[in-house]
Amino acid sequence: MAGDERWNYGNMDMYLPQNPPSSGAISQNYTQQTESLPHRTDGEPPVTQNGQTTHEDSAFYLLKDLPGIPRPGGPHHVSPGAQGPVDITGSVNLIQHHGLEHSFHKFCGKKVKEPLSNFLPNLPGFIDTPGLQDGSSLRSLIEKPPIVGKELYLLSGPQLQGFRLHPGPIPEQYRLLHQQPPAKKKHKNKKHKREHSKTSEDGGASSATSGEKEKKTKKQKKHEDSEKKEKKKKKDKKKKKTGST
Amino acid sequence: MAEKLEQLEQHLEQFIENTRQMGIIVSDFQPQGQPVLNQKIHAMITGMQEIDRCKGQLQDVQVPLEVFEYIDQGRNPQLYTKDCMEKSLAKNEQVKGKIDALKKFRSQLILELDKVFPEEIAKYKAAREMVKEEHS
Repeated sequence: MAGDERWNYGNMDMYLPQNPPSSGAISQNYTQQTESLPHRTDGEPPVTQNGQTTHEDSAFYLLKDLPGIPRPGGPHHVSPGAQGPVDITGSVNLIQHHGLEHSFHKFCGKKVKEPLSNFLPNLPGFIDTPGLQDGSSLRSLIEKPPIVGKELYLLSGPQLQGFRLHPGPIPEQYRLLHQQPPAKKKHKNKKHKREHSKTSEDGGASSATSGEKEKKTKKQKKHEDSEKKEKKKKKDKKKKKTGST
Repeated sequence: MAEKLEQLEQHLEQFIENTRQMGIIVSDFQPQGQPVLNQKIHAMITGMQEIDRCKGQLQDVQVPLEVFEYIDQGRNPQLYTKDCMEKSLAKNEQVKGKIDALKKFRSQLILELDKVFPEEIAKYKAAREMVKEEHS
């Protein structure tokens, strides 16, 4: 401990109460303990709040806040630690106390997925990348807040002239900005198909023929799906052209 | 409060969707798309006005700064809530352990002191009971 260099184990007589306790056994204990208790070598006795030693008042001179024990600062002195019993302590389950059990089970009971896109599934673009990479971090928004407080007005006709663009595609470096991440494929159908195909293979000859038929139908379905996609693309292009006019 | 937050969320999603559509138009711009682009710019400005109006209703909403670090790293902010809950539970258990240890120490200390200083401990116990009566 710091400051122990001034302390050494020696004579404690000067710190013993001038009126020792009545029981002889206790005085014996005092003498036995004098050798083990430390005392200050700078010659100064322990000082209480009023600057006087109060050993003559009580052996428990540190208990300043209890009634029946003389207080160094007077009867109206209240020590900082003198408070009533505290109802809520760490010995109580505070989560239960504040009614947060449901929230606790919701967040800690189930597995919370790591990526940000699981929290915001409807947001387009790549949002799982760190904000520092493209300068879109919230921290930079706090450190360098944008200009606020000005009124927002709709643009007039002449002001919109500045937004007249040239036709054609944008440079390649800017094309990736509005690309979407690949959509998560649902594997349920594939599992069912695999299971169904396995059971059909194990069935026998009759099931083998039915399996072949299933394969044929699958191929037909694939062709149909690709044709549908091409038709959709054509329709979308037409809609864009007609919608712009 | 939840309604106001939902309203803000809706405005933000509409704004983001509008911006996305503008990006598609601009990526391969055609002259026929100019009026649509102008319309999208207007929608963007009105979106910003609506979001600006929402801020007055959410002045008392407080967000801890540590959540921003999670979001900037591309992590789910619910993980922050989860980490807070787990830390508070661990701290609660730690403090409970300390309290239990100190209670045991106190009872043991009083027991031993009672053997050495019976009169003083009797005074102490009487004083403690007086304090309890005062506070009750």
